[in-house]
Amino acid sequence: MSEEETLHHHHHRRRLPSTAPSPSPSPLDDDDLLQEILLRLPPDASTLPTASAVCKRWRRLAFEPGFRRRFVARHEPPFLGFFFPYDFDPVFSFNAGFRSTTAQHHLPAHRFLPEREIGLRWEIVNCCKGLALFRITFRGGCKCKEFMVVDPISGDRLLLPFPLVDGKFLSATVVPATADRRSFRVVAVFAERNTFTSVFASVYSSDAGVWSDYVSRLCLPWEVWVLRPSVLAGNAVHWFLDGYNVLMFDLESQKLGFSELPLDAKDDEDFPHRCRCQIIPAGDGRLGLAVIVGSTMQLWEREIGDGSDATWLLRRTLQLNFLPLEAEGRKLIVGVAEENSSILLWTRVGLFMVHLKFLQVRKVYGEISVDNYYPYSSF
Amino acid sequence: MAAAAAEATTDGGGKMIILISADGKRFEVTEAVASQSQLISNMIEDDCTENGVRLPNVDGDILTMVVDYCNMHAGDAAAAGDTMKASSTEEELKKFDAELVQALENPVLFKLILAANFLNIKSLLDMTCQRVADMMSGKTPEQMRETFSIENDFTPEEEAAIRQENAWAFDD
Repeated sequence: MSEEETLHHHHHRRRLPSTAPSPSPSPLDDDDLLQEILLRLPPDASTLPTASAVCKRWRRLAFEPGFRRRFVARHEPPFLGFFFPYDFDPVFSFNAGFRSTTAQHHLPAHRFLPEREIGLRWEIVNCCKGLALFRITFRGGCKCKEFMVVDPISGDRLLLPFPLVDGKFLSATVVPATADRRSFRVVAVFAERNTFTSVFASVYSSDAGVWSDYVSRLCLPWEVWVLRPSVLAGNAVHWFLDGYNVLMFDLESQKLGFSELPLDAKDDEDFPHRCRCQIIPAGDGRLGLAVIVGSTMQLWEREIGDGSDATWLLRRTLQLNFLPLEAEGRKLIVGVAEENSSILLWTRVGLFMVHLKFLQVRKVYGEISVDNYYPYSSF
Repeated sequence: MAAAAAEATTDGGGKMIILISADGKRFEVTEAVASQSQLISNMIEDDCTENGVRLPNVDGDILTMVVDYCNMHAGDAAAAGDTMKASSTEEELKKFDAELVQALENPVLFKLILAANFLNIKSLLDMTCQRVADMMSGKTPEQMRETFSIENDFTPEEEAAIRQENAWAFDD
């Protein structure tokens, strides 16, 4: 950050001379002004690739982390499609697939997935800020334990070994560390075999190229078997556990922790009710919770007090009576598009994206009937 | 503006100051109008506008446009308390801005951006940069280079690699 701040304050930047002797000076020759202009380009997926293909200087400016951050802050990255657990592909049908939901860009699905080689099997684990994380379970027809990080926009694919730990794999998350996504971390969570009441995390850093095993351990008052896809809120990764608990991993302190969901939204014995809850990022780094109650959606926010005490506040209630929500028995909130402050809602007439800030609702095409969608949004 | 009220003020406008363009044209404007430029506003605060403000970076024809723009927008702050007045001028302003920006073509548009940047007039800079962005949008890298006379300094190999990387984005 500080490096970029100094950059912003002159020195090695190309600057206009204070008097203007050149016959026709152009704002495009000034780094700051060119970035001001590029910032105002429409937030299409092709915008930055196009600008960065004009010349070397434009390329450098379009890739500057500070610029990327401003661009992302100014525009929401476009929602390009979603990953889903099982494709209907005749050969690779047990593997996760990707479906594009944008009409204007023909994004080939293969760019989003591991290479299609016979005998390779993969699961989608999560996607976050432009990177997708897969778990490779079979290679050449043999069982294997690997992760693959895919950047569909740049076309980069990186294979990682599994951490050398003894435990049952629960879930993992990839979190880009830089705006260009070349640097990232993967957090993997495992449960102690036999007991399932003790969990631990391993963290891979792409800069170091190695796993730190057993970085944090946590004993829980209940057993953990499966984790739903994670949600990044602030600097912590959160997993929603059945039983109204949230397991979290703080990326800064590298510690696991857990917190309970608001009592009011809780109904332990009620499975259908559980299908109606989903943790979400609530803005300002806070964790939120969306709960479908009747034909409304309650939006809760977690307020962190001193220490680990947290209180949940009901922030808003949205009317959803114009959407025919599915009857009991299946998940209603089937995905979280973190980058777009949106959730994916399953209804009797298909899939809808609900923007939680602007309250826009739009139909999402290409839907299939699954419980977990992994929406992908990126520039 | 409250500080200026101590001086001999004409209604609402405060003192007059003189702006002098690169080619020596003189523009007399109220402090309120000129203060939309952060640069001039700072000079007014520092009391160094006595002998006129020389703007060696800005030609007379561009400064004419800037002064027109600032005259039009000077009402913004003054009318803030008066809702009726504000809403009627808002319509006019939108129309004025739209016509101004639509009429702008390359050499003048670029000069106006440089002037808005030099004088630090945020709203004018925003509007003019947006206009250039609109002109860029939807263009291929080749068309961008052509429109803005930019030299392609990639080697053929580099260009091929970028093309490969962005194949889907350029695909139409």
